[in-house]
Amino acid sequence: MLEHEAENHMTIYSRHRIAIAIALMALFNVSQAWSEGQHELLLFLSGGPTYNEVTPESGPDGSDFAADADVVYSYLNGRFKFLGEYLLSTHENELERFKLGWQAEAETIGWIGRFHSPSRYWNSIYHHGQYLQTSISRPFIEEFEDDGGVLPTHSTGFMLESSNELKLSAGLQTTFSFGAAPVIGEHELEPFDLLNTDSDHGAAADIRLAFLPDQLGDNQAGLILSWADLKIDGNHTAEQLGLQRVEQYTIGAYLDWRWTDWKILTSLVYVNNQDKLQTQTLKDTFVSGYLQAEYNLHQDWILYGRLEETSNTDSSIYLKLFPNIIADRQVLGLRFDFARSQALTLEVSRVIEFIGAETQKDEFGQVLLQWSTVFPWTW
Amino acid sequence: MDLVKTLLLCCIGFILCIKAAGAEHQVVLVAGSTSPLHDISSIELRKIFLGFNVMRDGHVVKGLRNTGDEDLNRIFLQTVVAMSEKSYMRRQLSQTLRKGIPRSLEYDNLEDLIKALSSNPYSVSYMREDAAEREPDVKILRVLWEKY
Repeated sequence: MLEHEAENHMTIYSRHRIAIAIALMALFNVSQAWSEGQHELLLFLSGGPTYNEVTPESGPDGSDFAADADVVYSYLNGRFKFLGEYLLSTHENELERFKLGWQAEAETIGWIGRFHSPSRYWNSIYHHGQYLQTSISRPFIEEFEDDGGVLPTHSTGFMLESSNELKLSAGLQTTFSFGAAPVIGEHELEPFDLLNTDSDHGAAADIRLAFLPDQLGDNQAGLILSWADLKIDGNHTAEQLGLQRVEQYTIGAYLDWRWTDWKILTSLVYVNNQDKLQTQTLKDTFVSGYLQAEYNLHQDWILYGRLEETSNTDSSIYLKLFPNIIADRQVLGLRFDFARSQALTLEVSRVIEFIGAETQKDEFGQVLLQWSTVFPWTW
Repeated sequence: MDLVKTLLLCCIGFILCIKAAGAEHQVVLVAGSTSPLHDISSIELRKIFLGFNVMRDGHVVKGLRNTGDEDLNRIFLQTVVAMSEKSYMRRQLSQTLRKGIPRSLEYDNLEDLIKALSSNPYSVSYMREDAAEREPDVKILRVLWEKY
């Protein structure tokens, strides 16, 4: 109990230090040097109800309402860059990204800080900007840790991004990162928290290689690889199994392509877990993939559908450490864009979910409605 | 002799009128008059306004949008970035969200735009040729669009 209180004091102390640092930065903000640069503030707002057809015992509630405010601030001064992203929602408050960058060359930039793992492609393009992603939900394999994601989506360390021009205006983009991996907490993966640096994290490395037929376009195909040393920190199922840590390797591919009114976004990831017990190492694997197709019915209307599936959900030891695993989901949705930058989206889906260690399977329908927008300010 | 003089003056006046009318139908790429910039290709210009880095002498070249004139804005979207206003806005938001690149600064007042060009020699913008020719603080890099 005393230890716990001491830990809380430490956390509060760390937060105060961070708050003082931010206040000092705010003072610096009004200094001449800071005012010479360019600032951009984006406020992404979204919200809406979710209705679940049945209420599984350990699954989602019958109905829910979620509202998010995602604040993105970026600063550019010569070769120096800063990017911060803070998410306030009905479910969480989290400093998502906080990174400082240096533009070494026109096509090469190095970052230090906390960022989204480059090997999760969906997150690398949409982050928490709900307005920019067509669907309301994101595929299971791309979920953030605190939304039930089972693969690391945040890392804290350094990241290097570079682009190379190929023939006929094509481009090759390489992104590499190395940093602190999440730990396997009581119910979810817990990434390194810049506001609470006390916990013991392993390391993670991520690589994404992307080929772009037009280096200035959005179409791309790529390979993703990652390695993470995931330590156990309070997960009861892991402790019961005698699991000490999990060494996780992933390899995958993705395609993000547009043809006139069509857009396809698909990814397939193979996950290999080396489950380190006290006396032996067990290996378990699973494969997860999704295919999302979007069709522009009209200038302001987009019809979309997504199929996703994850294999070995009932046999993977690693997946048993998490309470809700989506094994199968079919999604159909309609998005309507109106005014300058607002959207209404309706999404229906059929979900097959495993309830963690109990290998209990639930199948239910889900209906989601969402309003989303973005307010940009540049100065 | 007087007739020759009159004809000559008429010809000069006619040529100046044609040139002035033509200038209204040309859009040019401009930089500050003291800017060392002189050769920005179409691809580089597209890169600049799409949030990619183009560097000169170790400096990142910035693109400033001239939004005071609706026609000029339409020409910019068609000629420079080849996108609709909506697609361009989404693209810029996406670049900020992904890479922390702020969107191009927008100026709906020509005087402010010229001040901004003068204060950063590694910045470019676009305007009608007649406006650029009248302004001593900017130099024309090249013609971006003209009406035939």
